[in-house]
Amino acid sequence: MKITCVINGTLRVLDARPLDRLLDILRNLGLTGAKEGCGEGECGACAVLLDGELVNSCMVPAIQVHGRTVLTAEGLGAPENPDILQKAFLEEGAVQCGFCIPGMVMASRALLARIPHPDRPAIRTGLAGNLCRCTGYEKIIRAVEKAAGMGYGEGIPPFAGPVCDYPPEFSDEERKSFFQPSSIAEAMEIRAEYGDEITFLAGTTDFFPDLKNGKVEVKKVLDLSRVEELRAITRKDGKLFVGACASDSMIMEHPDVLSLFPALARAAELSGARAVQNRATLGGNLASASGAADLPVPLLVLGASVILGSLRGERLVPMEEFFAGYRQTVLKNDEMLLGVSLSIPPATLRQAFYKRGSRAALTLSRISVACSAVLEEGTLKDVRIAAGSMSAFPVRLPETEKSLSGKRLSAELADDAADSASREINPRKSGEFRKTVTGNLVRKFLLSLLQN
Amino acid sequence: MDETTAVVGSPVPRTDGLAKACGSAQFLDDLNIDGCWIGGTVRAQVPRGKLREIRLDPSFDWGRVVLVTARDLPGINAVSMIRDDYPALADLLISFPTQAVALVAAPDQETLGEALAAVSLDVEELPPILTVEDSIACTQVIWGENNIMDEYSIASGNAAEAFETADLIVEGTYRTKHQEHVYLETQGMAALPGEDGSLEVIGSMQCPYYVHSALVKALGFPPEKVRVRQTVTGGAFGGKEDYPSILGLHAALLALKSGRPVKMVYDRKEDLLCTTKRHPSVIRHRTGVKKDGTLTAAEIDIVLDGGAFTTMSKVVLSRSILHATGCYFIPHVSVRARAVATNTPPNGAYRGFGVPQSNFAIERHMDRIAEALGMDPLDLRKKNLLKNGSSFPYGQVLDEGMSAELVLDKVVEMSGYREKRRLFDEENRKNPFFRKGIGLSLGLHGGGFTGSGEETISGSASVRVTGGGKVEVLVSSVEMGQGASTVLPMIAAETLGLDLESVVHHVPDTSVVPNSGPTVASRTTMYVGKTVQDACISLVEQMAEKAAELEEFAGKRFSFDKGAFTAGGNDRIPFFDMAKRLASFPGILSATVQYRPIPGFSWDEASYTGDAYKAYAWIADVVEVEVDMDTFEIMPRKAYISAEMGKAISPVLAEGQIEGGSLQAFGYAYLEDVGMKNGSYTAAHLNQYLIPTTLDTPDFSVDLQEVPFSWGPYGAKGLGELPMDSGAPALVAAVGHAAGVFPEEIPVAGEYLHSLLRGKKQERKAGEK
Repeated sequence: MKITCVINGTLRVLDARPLDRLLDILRNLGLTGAKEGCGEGECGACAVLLDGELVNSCMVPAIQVHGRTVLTAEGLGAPENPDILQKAFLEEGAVQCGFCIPGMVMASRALLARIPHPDRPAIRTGLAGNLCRCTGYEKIIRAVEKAAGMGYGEGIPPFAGPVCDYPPEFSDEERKSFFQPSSIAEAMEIRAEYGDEITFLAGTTDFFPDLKNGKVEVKKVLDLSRVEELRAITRKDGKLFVGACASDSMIMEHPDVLSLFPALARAAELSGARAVQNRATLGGNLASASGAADLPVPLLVLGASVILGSLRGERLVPMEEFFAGYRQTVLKNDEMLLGVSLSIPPATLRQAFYKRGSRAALTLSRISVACSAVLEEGTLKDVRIAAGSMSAFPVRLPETEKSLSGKRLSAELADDAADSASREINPRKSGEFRKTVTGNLVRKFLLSLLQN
Repeated sequence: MDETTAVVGSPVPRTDGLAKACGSAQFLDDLNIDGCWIGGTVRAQVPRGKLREIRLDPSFDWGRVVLVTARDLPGINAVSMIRDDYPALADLLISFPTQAVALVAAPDQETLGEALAAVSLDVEELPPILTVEDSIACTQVIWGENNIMDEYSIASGNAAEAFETADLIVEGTYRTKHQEHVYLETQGMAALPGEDGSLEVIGSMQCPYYVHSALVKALGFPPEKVRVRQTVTGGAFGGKEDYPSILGLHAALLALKSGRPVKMVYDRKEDLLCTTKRHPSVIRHRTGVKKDGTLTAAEIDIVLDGGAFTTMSKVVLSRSILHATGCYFIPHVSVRARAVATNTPPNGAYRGFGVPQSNFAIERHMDRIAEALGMDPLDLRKKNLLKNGSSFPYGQVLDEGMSAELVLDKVVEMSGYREKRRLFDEENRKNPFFRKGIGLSLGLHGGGFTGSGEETISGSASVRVTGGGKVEVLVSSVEMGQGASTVLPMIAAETLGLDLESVVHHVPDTSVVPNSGPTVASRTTMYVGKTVQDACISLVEQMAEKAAELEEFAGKRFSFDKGAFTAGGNDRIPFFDMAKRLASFPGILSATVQYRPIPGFSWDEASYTGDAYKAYAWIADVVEVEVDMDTFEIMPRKAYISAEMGKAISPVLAEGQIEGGSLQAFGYAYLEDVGMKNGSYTAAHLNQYLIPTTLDTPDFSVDLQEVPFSWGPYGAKGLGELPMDSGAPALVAAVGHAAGVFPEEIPVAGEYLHSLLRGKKQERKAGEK
């Protein structure tokens, strides 16, 4: 295919195969600043800016680069004329072996573009997807502080919009297996025609690792990246609709999600680091039906329905009924996932999402718990509890919920609920540990209600 | 800044920093090599067995690729390291699951994948040894006569007798697991055959001459026909000390058979599953103490898991035993140390090199003794510190530079340790679900090779003046992130009275640079730096001497000071001006010097006694953590570190070494775990082998102490490994303080912390009954 894009300020028309990684495209052009440290979005050494947003270039297909603007470390400056940020890295001693540094510089720039004067925790969060094994990060953080102090963030121009408004040019052969519709209606027709042969592409944060590890066989590709409607988050008629292609970043920063469904926002915030959050979508998180997925857990307690669409029409599936088994959903082979619909909850609904990964950031859930409840004059109502990462898919804990609803909340009741939740789940591995933590988190939620 | 030096001690930025920050530094995989094929590896898949046959699928067109097996080896079938026990490719016997059996080179990734899938192995499986316990018990003999690769012992005084007079005997067993380096650039080497029958091997490495020697032995090439050149190296930490010899040899075999350049770059999965790791350890301590906390006697037993072949195990074990008693004086000591074989991937060099294991055990054991005596861990340590004039168990006595007390006092002051320990106890009583803890540890690291190792390798360094008005430093010591390409030129610049821009570190290339030894053992600044300094002095001496022969200076006697040659009166010739005048004598404008043995030290290898190291660097850590008692999550919040390394040639780089090394130690303490199943690691991705991210990292406060070492360049001692030795026990002590438990293994993962707390709860319940 032929794609048109701007790379480091130069308009380019490139020949590529649709699933070529942006990382390889850049490196074949001699832009070797972006490095492959893992090829799975776990290290950030290949991080670049795509339309001003941080992405891991090992997980962006050529088909999604068309019409877009790419910026790499080479585009900021060269050793003869480094930019402020690159110079700050040098002067603060933030560079050692240097392999992670081009990606680290790009992550720093993306952070400073969003938050020109971040505090230390914000810097740590902004760089959490970029591993460095040499420096202990201390001097990298100081370099970012220094560049921020020099006004680097204020000097970053806003994203200027798409490079072109025409679609990419596919070869005749590619046209038979790669589809890039711009509307839901068009997408549903393609889905109806090819059924099970279709592989959907959205944020591709699962797709590329699966491809690398031989877990996916690609026949026909339906890329949803140009379907704008699917990226919407809208409030209407007492419902909040979150589109299937809304990214974790969009979800965690959307004012309606933050005010109405903070547990969902929190799950998106803990789902990964920035470069992944900018790409990973709600739809991907649901459709991949991974037992460790973060977003389904709060959706289970928030009464969400999944909206499935096909040429036959739309249907609403309660979140509880969406998963059919290990890595399986009820999605039929002519349907596509359009988004989720959430009823606006009463202002008194309290909710929380907790995740126990193996480290503080960029980690899969080992245990996740979402809770919601209303506390009315000391009495619990509408208690809902869900736990993830313990079985093939996340589940509600109906017995624990029942044992709490209508009860007067107390520290003793919270302890009992912890025991009950521990008993109710059945983890496949590390059983005692996971049971204890799950119970503890349920107790934590209940005690937090008592405190306020 | 030091007033007596201009470059040394100054905050000049590193020489390679901008190229790296701008993405223009070229690592191996960034290079475009014309006509280059790529290589891949067929691996055994079983921990132990007899290799009956390598089967090639006849439906694959083998003319499209090149295949290499053990039969293609022209020289010995061994990757030459300390011993020649590690086969380049498995021949009859398979000894670990990821052992290389065959190699394939192909023009592209797709063809390579098809070819690798078309090779299958016919193996008769044999019962493997998977644990050090089984290895010692010899349930199967898999190495030598009794599975013991190496064994050392050290004794001082009379431990057995001294135990009888102790007030209390405290025992403990401490365990550590594998650790993976996770250099961000994976292993990669390329081999380029020359038309004249020569061979060039380039790649990411620490020790060009190790690779050179391994190639010469296995290929049967004359040394001058093989050239090894380092490319920009994206982190190493010991992981590129031993492994590049293996990968370089593999690439070379494919290149020679195919007659074209072949590159082998591991992807992260292959790198995680196949390359060397830090040795797991089981260390038992038994210590006699007096009621006032004085240590009187110690018995220590160290067992390291060597994996299937020796690689560096012998020397790792040696360092382990020599650092077994840590920073403490114990009059009667008996230590035994063994490295044993298992059918797991060979373990090798990793920053610290046996000391992180030893030091974890002794530091944890000090905490245990303190607990047993009801003393604060700080008071117990202070009572038993090694000082100038105290004796190590192997008999060494140093009268200068024993700085344990210096760094300990400093770190206690910086961190407010005593006050916080009390304060956190108080806060924890109020908030049982979210606790704070503070812990401390000490560490020491002997700089350079052990015993007379530096004398044995006797490394050389050259300096030369180039036509372009620069001085080049020629050594085989590589830049791998630690800063050698800045620090060595800083030493040369200081000695020659030049600015840093005038001095460059030449790319380590065995056809150009002398053998200054491997880039290991915290020896580069301390020993190679000293030799570079000596070479600079030789250079100006010979320039001064030759100048006197020039007509214009006939008969003058020049001396050299602050960048210029002077001969009294108005004769002051700046260095490069003099170089120009001597341009017709190229031999005069370069100098090569061999390491000059430091007098007054002696080591007896047979009895394992004497001066094990010429100088030690010292470190003390105080770590603060928070522990979420609901989720058993550990969050390091603050790290205070004081280190004494003689002289910080570049304070910025020295701090960077301490922060980075400490974070590796913290990861080792609570996060990092390769997992083991049937002799293989289970962590195949970076979402399984977890290293600290920015959010897992504490704020650092680092303090540099300088007690100059008389024989080091500007007083410098070794530094690189030191922070790796001490971080883990401090963090674990802090976790123990927060949660009220006593971890004796690392990593302290959630499951382990949970099980410790459960054990405690059950004990308490039993007590109540």
